[in-house]
Amino acid sequence: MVTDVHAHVMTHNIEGGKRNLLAVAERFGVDRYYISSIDDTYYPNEAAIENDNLVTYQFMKEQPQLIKGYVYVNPRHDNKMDVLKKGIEEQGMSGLKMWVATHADDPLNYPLIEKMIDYNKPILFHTFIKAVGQLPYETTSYHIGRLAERYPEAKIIMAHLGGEPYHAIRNVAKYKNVWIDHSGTLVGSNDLQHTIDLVGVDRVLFGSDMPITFAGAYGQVLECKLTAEEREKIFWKNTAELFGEGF
Amino acid sequence: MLDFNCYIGSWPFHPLAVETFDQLQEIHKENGIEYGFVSSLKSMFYRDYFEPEKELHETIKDTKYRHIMTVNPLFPACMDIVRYGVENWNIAGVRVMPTYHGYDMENPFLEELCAYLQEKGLPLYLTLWLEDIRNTYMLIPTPIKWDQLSAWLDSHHGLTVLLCGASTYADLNIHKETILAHPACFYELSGMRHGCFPLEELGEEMRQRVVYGSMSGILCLKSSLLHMQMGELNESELAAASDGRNFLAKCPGVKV
Repeated sequence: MVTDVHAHVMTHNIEGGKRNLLAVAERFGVDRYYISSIDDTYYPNEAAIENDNLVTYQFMKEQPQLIKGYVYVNPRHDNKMDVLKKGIEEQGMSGLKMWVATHADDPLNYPLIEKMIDYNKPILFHTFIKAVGQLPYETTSYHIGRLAERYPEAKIIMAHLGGEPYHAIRNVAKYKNVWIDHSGTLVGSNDLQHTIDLVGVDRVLFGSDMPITFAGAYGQVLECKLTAEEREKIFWKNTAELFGEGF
Repeated sequence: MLDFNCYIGSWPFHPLAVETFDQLQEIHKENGIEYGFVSSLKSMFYRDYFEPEKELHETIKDTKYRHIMTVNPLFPACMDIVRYGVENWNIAGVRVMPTYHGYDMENPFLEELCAYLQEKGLPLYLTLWLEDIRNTYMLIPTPIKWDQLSAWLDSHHGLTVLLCGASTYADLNIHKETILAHPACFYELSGMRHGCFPLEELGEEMRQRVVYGSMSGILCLKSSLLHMQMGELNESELAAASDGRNFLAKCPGVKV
């Protein structure tokens, strides 16, 4: 079984994105995706966010076994708490997706984090350190660590191995409330193994960043020196336990 | 299956899963790859790369693995070393790394090298990328601009070129007309980090120009291998990518 904890539908190509998710599910044997819908703008307005979440919700309804959703929230919007509440309570979403509007430890995020602790549901943070092109409020491992320390009850997923595992992982390894996904286009030969060596297999989650790529992430799990049981944990068991959602 | 783009050696900034020749052979064997066209990472970082090239030759000489020499054409002894490699080590091609060694495609020393390779029927391995630029630490890569590369390819139709780490699926897709207009320009798979089924999306003509390359030990081998295994390629396309027959047909100086 495979559960992909980090996938998207891009709202500028909704039908194409859905087709890709379904095709990959069929060929690679993906049993579940946790998706968020995002647009090709880093800083969407309220209307765009509402539309993004509607796209997620509709896909959840179309494919209830395959698709689970994250509610996407921009912490700078006045209606952020209403968006979160609607996503979790009315649309049945499983987690909160945060992208690049604020650093993870920004006080603007605190009410959202506290509400997610009440819901006992995970928060997925895009996390990346870049030699070139770092966005002004792009979360790094540093911000994840500060947030994890402030809110030890929060279930935090640090995406993309923090963007550069040799920079990011050691910093968060000590926080037991931080899980790590290895989604994205970085396919270094030792990246995932290094992560596992530092945090163990129980807090590593399989994620792809679909529709950007899938094979890159999938191949890394196969290539790591793991037992069959450890591989299963990464491919789906850890995610099932974290979300508390069985099949 | 052959691996047309692989390395041995260490990377100065972090450990690699595959650094030694034994490790490379092991991962190839595990994945059904008979042998590879291998380069030395040490040569990338040495100003005088004769010794690491000699070391690579000594390491692989009794195996099926083929030697792809890595050079910086700006080193004054470059052509002496390349000629030595052709005459004594039976090298199967020469790798250049302008992105990392800091020269452009119009450089006259590169031109001299290309003319020699063309004469010998050997391919130029043009390495565009190793690690993702966002992960760069200390190195200051200077990307080759595609418009410059296109113009350079247009003026080198007699040379066989393998684009290594060719940036992204999107780049290849945008510039596929440039690649296809060249009679012997090929690309390998390790750069294909974007796209769900990129070989399908690139189309039939571009599938005739691909060879399997892993960029192991820098990159995860299985990640690129899956693009071949999970893409819906027909039998002849898969065979051509696997054993590189289309590519090798354009490399008369490579004795396999």
